[in-house]
Amino acid sequence: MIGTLLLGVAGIMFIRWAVCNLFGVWGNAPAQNPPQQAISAPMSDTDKEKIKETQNFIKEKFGDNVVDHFREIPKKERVAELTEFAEELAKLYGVELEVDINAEHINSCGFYNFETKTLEFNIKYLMFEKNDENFAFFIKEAINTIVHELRHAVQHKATKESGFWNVDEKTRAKWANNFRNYISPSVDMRGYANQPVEADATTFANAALEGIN
Amino acid sequence: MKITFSEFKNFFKKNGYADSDIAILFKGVKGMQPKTKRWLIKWFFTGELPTEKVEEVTVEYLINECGYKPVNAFIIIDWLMTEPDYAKYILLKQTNERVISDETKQEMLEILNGMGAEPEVITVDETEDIEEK
Repeated sequence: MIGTLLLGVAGIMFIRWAVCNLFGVWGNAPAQNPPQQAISAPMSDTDKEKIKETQNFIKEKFGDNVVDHFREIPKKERVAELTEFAEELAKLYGVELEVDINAEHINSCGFYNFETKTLEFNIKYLMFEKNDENFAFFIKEAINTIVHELRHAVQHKATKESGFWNVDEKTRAKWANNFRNYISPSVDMRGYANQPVEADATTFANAALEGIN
Repeated sequence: MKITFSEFKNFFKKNGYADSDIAILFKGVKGMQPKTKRWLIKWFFTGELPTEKVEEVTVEYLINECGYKPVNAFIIIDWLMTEPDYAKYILLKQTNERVISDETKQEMLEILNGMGAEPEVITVDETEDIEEK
């Protein structure tokens, strides 16, 4: 655990290099309110129900003010609580996966591994000091990442099981084709953000976190 | 000046890009604004990076300070010109490097065949060029 926390500190130093250089340039304001393109993928009636369930679940787990909740608990409890949150949300979504919160993939905040059916999440977002000016942003980003990655798990299962979350056949085919022709952010960042599975997951997660403080 | 697809492909193959990623990049570059294309073409042949700032950052800054590969940095600069709010929003998130294995891609192909749906392939017309206009 100590090793993991030390890696988390190293992760913070990396995130400050890679992302916080841009934070230094733009501040965190551009990341606070998603622009129209980040909330415009079509959401079905089932998606809207699940979004509402997710919002209720977040409030149930963390109270009315999520950021204050995490400010008041020790770092290792933040890790434990978010792990449990991810595991329980996965059950709510009907996806079977393992949750692995670690500090291994230091370049990433989190990702869903299709082969191992694991949600890996980097603890670095949870290691900021409670009075850090970006604390609120990173806590909300941590939860957003979990919801976003679980949405990918839903997309994956929906391509394999007709009728899962009432996803229509046209969307199933669109997602299956996108997974076959996936655009990596290290190749083309704009193409990455605009591809169907990412635009969908971004919209879903942003909708789920709307109104969460 | 222009870059032929053949020149583009050879350059990026030497730099370790897979064919599928080269096709993605070529399309991404083709879709750029004329100004960004001119900068990229100049860099391609001379190695010279533009110094102009877009939303307070340069291509060089994105490469050296943020770790983006050069063509991705040009794409980002172009994106900052055309959709600055959206680009900044995404760039400030720590995006995930997701690798979709050949196994998963094969699984998706089998699903598409089972559905009777057309598998899509990203293709490039190899007679196309990247021109300054």
